[in-house]
Amino acid sequence: MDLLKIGTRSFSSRLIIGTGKYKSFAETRQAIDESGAEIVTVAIRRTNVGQHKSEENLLDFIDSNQITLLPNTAGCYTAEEAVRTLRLARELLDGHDLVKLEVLGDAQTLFPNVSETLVAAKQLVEDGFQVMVYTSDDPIIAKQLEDLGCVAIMPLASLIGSGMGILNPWNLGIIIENASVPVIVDAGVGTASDAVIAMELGCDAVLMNTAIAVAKNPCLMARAMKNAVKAGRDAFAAGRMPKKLYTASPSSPALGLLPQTPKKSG
Amino acid sequence: MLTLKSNLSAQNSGRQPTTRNPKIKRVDDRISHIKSSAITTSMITAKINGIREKVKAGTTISILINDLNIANRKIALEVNGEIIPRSQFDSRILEDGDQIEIVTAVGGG
Repeated sequence: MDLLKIGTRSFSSRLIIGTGKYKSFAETRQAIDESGAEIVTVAIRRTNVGQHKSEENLLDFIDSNQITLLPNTAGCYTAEEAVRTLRLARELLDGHDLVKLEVLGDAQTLFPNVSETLVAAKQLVEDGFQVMVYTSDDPIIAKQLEDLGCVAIMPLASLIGSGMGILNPWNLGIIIENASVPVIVDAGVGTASDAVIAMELGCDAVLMNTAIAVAKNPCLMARAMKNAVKAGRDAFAAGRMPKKLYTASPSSPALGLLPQTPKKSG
Repeated sequence: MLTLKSNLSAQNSGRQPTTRNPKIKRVDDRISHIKSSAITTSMITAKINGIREKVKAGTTISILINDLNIANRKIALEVNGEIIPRSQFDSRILEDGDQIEIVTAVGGG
């Protein structure tokens, strides 16, 4: 069985999806089901304290026996805010320790602030968290985060929510080559072919939200992504053929070809 | 026992509350320090998710979240930046000036 091992946990699905931007919680749940994801991210926010008792909550729509929740630190711009948020998440989710760390540096690009990310990662690992960390595609930072004890390195493929796809496969390749923990493309995937490319590069998994949630038919796109991640993983495992730049190679045998059509002699 | 409702729900919508619970007095931020001791001795002021609220002295966290209609919710709670475990909700009594943050999980990527 080709399992994805992250920290102390194992998963059979290599697609991780976010729960933001869906039209309803029901649609969120359908998309999760279609995607086959076993890990879904959630954000931590102030609760609406004036709500009706019947008001719906995202957590009511996710079966925590089947799905591993991955609380994130989206919206945090300092290590301190990120650590605080995840400590609250751990309390909220009864001691749950698998988390997604992201410390942003800029509201326009949502590019990660890697120096704050390093500080937060160190603190969280010391606190006993299993940290999956969103970062830039800088191989040196990726290695430093791994050395601090992060259980998965999650470089961006392009900007969060941009759908621009895999912009720098070379950097991702270097990170994958050097890492001994899972490398997960987090952010930038726009459509199924992007997910295939990420997996063919040797990524261990792909994390996405907007590509599914903002598709015209999110549930269908969730299924497409499930199949794409599987296809890409299989292609990676199978090992692709070498590229021949200037010479074709026929797939059909040269032997047994029909001779020239005989001409009737008059 | 207190029953908070609409005055707190305004925080997320940015609207002014349409109805008020007479047992709970919202204190204008500018004058709260002057007035708070004069209004009544049995009430204290606490900030709940950024909104200044009057609550009865002696209110525990359990009572507070019950009055906020979130007792059966998945929440985590901080008082003055310190996480309060659920096991202490019954015993922890709010104090004047406490800043309370109550969070839950929402959709995100």
